[in-house]
Amino acid sequence: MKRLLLLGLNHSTAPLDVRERLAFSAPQRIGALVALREKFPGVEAVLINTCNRVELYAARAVHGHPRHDEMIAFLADLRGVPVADITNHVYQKSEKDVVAHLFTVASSLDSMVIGETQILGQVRDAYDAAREAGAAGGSLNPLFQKALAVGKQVMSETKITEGRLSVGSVAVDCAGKIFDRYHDKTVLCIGAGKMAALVLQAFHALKPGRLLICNRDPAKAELLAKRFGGVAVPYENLADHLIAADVVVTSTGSQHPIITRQTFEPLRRARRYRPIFFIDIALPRDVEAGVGEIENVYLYNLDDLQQVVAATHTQRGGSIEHARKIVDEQVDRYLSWTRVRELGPTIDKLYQRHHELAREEVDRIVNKLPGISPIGRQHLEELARRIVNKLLHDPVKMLRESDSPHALGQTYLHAMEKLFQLDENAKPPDEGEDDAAH
Amino acid sequence: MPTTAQLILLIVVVALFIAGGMLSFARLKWDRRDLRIASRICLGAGIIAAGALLAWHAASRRNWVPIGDNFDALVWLATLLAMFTLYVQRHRTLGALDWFVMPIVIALLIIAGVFGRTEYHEYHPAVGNTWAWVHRVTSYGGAVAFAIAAASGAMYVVASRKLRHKQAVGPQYGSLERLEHLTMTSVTLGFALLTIGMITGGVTMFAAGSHTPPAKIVLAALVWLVYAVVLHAPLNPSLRGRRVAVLSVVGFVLMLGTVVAVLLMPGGTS
Repeated sequence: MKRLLLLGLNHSTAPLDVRERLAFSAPQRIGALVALREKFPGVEAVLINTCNRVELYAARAVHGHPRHDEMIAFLADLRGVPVADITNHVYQKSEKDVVAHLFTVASSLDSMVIGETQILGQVRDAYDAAREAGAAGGSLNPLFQKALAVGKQVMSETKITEGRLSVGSVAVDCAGKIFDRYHDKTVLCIGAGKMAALVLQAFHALKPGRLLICNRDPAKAELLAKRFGGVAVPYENLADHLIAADVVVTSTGSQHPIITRQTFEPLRRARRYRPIFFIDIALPRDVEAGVGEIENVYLYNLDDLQQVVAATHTQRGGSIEHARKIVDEQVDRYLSWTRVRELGPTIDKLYQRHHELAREEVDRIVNKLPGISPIGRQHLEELARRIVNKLLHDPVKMLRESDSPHALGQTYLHAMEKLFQLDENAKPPDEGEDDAAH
Repeated sequence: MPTTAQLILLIVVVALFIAGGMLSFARLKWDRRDLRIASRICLGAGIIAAGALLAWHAASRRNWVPIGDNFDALVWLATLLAMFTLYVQRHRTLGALDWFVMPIVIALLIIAGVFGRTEYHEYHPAVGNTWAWVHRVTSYGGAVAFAIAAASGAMYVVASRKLRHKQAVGPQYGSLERLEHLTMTSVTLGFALLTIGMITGGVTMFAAGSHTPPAKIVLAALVWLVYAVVLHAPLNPSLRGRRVAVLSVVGFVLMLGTVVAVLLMPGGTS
């Protein structure tokens, strides 16, 4: 039996500057999972890392490690961030709360833009990375497979994705507050990832005068430029492109800002002080916050776009309710399924152990009765078997009946394992065991 | 001097404009089509009533040439502003323009009512020639254009501030680009009219040998200078954006000062 734990922070609990300090690139994510398993052997783990969230899911032995405080320390240590800087921004969940949270995340109900579909791919990527690192096992495999299925179900059975406010549509809406027409405007996209493509798609629909795509890897820029009828431009001439641009979308994987106040301010004169709109959807940020303080510069990062989304009324209340209902139902079903899965082997072990004891006792008695006939022996064995069955009937019945989402099944199961020493790995509880499920 | 009945009609005009303004403000909370139509109806009815008041006043003083006295001038100014607002709102999506212009319109009408009773004076008959009339029409026309420029400038400042602070900017504000364009167009038109007004004013002053109060000349020159700086923006783009918007508001405040200076100085107008 394993315990599920979650430690995370997202757009609603942590500001962008905290999130970007904990962000992982794809290779870093796999490295983190490997490091976690080296430090805590036997633990299963999946690390979800998107623009808006960093979440570490773990499944470990009931009295094993890591605990939540160890998970915080691990993440902080790995990213070189003081623990105190993140403690107030993280949330900790265990057991069924982990399941409910993951299903909510996969269904996009916890997203900055409710109904966005990218999150499903991001959860899948995280799960694939965990499998690649050998970090997903018997507990997290079914959990993530179910989460992906629930996410798909929500997207297909509800209208949550219809009329949604994507980051791209929100960015275009904001641009519309600055610019009136686009046929004489230049849109510059720095980075050629999925998110950049999504925002670019929204701007492409406005038919801007020029669409420039700038990326460190020119091949990727070419690909995106071909897709949107833009022009791939060399990254080395970024300053020239910034002079030409009216709208700049940045979404690179750079660990440091690529546009700083110091680099942009000298370009203003050459730009003839035209207004410029920066949409920085990168994490860590690509555009230094100070750039947004310059006159005629409008800088929006992910958190700012979230504010705009929050201020915009959506007409999808019914769909969201419907989606939440699906998630709740699926959480209950999954928990029942896991309980049954855990209950079966435990009950089997219980019967096996007691029947074995009964057999040993029957053998001892038979040895003391040398003249006992085979029929008498059979009667004795039957007697012992029936006693065991009768003795175990009530506790097992109670255990099975408690197998509902709101009952104490988990507690009984755990108690039974302890009392009858059914868990070979069970050790006395550590001092300071702090998990909520206790 | 306006009669009591004319003042009552003036109050009706003010009431209609206030009702229109309040309905328009209500759209901040409930952005409904019926509210927009009701607001436009009030604005239109106010303009018609103001036109009737001007006609009545002209008939009662037996002179159909507009802008013959300070009461007439202020009502004309307010009516032209209201008409321009209605026109701009119809042809360009700037639903918030009346939030910024109508307070000016209402203030001008109230000042017209108060000064019409307390400081009423007809403009100097000695300068009642074509030059003087052109001077008045261009000066007041310029004031209307500057009022629009100031309103769009104020809208620019508000919208820009909201955008920088990541607050929701309603669709009523249009875009910064549109507001900047409206400001520059209005300032260009107003500046041309003001320049003509100043030249014809000077000609009229010399022709009549009248003495123009220095305050009026100084203020008019200041207004002209401020708007000259605003018009300089395409040559010196560091001014563009918020600075131009603020300058257009400052210029209009000075313009209002000039108008009030003219109104408060009996016989002081050209």
